[in-house]
Amino acid sequence: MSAVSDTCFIVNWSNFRRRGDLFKHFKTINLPIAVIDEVRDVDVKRFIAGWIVKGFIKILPSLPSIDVETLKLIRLVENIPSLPRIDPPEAYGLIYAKILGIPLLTDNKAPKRIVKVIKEYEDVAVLDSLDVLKAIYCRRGLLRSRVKEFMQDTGISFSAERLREIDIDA
Amino acid sequence: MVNGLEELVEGWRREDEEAREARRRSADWSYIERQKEPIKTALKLMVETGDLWVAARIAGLPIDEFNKIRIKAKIPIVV
Repeated sequence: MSAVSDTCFIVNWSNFRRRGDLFKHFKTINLPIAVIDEVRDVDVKRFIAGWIVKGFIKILPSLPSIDVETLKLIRLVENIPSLPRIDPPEAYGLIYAKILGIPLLTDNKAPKRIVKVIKEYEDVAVLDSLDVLKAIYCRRGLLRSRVKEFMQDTGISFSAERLREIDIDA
Repeated sequence: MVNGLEELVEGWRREDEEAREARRRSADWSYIERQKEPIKTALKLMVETGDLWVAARIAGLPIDEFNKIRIKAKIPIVV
């Protein structure tokens, strides 16, 4: 399976002690070039470079047609008060996910909400880190311990309701 | 798709409020107050909004570098 990732998601997974497990589930992760431009931390750059060398990460170019779509999406979201702001690289990722017909990986709430409200994006699958942890570890019975490790390593916290679903006390 | 939109939005509002409370509760306020400006303001914005992208720009830092400071300040990203 392939997916598109935004900046926060790939940074979060770079901080996870079992970061390589990401590629047990995804054959390839596509990063918009805007994501690479946003990364400055040497460790994160090192991980991304290593994954590019192994063919796990592909870079998606910046294209004028997608720039236009990005602006349209940002303006559209701004005009729907119930939706949180979407930042440009994240919007870029969502548009690429829609065009390529593959999931978007993000730990931000805006894309998950956009696909529930804007019909044009309803077919895009948006997965966050908990969705991915479930997909990787559920069958092996490791999920609870891996989720705890992930939260420790990344400073990500999953909502009490979602943690209860996997039998973890918030 | 927009059926039940009000219910959906009300659920999001509750989620957002719970997330904000979690950030306020978990944050290391002593660490935040010891930071120089504009990092201090950016961390406070992060607590209130959870918006890492904007907070990083207020801090004048790349997102991954600001994210390290966020982790030190014990401000969770609530998903």
